[in-house]
Amino acid sequence: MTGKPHPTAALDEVVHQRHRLGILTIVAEADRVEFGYLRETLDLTPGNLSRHVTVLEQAGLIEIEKGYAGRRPRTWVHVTRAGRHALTAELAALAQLVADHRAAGDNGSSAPARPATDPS
Amino acid sequence: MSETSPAELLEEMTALRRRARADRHGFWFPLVLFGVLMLAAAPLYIAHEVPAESVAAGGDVADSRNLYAFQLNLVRAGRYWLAALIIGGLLTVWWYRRRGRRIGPQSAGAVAVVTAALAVAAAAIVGITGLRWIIVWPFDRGYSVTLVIAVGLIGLALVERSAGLTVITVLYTGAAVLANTYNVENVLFDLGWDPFIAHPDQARFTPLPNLLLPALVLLLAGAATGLPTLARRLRQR
Repeated sequence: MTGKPHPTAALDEVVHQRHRLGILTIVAEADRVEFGYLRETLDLTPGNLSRHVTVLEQAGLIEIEKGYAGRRPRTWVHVTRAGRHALTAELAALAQLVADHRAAGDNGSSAPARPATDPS
Repeated sequence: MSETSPAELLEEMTALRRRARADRHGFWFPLVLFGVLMLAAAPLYIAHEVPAESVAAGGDVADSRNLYAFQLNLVRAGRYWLAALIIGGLLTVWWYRRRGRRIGPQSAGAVAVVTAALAVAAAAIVGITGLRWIIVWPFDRGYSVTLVIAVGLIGLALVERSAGLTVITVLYTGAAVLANTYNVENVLFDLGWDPFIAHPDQARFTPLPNLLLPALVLLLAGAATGLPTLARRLRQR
């Protein structure tokens, strides 16, 4: 078999996970996003969110900033340039998968599409 | 373990992006703030007196004497706007920072840049020309500040990435350009308001519509976008 690789090859294991993709999507919308906002928006437990945030941080896709809002300790998350690129690439790969799947559907055959997993 | 198809995942991410963007938007506050600041300047745009010859001439603005006939204190207006724009800019930065701390997504950095640019433009236009305001800018009757605010609004629309704010910015800029070029009172004259012949007692209010129209756009837009946000916030409590 020759030609271009299947779109699933462009999917990034770190980014593709549903909650991590959600975190990147949200933090890419602002300079920085508060940890509590992410937890509430994604409906995750603090421990679960911390785990995903750590994976993204270790991959260099986000950065963590700790500080205070008044007297309350706060944790802020902001996306790195690599994180922004990874998000764009992931969304493009997903869009390509959807387009291929629809095209295959129109032709009467089915195209394999890797589903996103939700381990939580 | 549940599985999500790529299409569902894309839809979910689009919804998340929309939600984060909506939560980040806080532009109703600067709209209302600058609308109020414009309303507060209204007394500066009511002429102390309109000379009788001006009324007799039908308020012909082509007559250069009529530029001064309204006896507006543009130096005082200039000082007011210098202070109002800087205070308005600082309050806008405060608002976005507070909002970012309380709600989550924060873009205060970009807003601060826009606000700083607004303050610098204000200082350049209002402050530096200062006392020589009328001589340096003979055709400005004190409304150029509405254009400074338009520049700030365009910057804010770029930062906020909001279709709604883009529409508001276009409407406001249109009103500001009208106030600075053809002048709103000429539109009102075409619509039947004739303060020089029919209502000479209203002649001293002639400059006011040029301030009130842009202010009205800001206030209505601020109310239309801010009230639903406030209502949603109250429901969540």
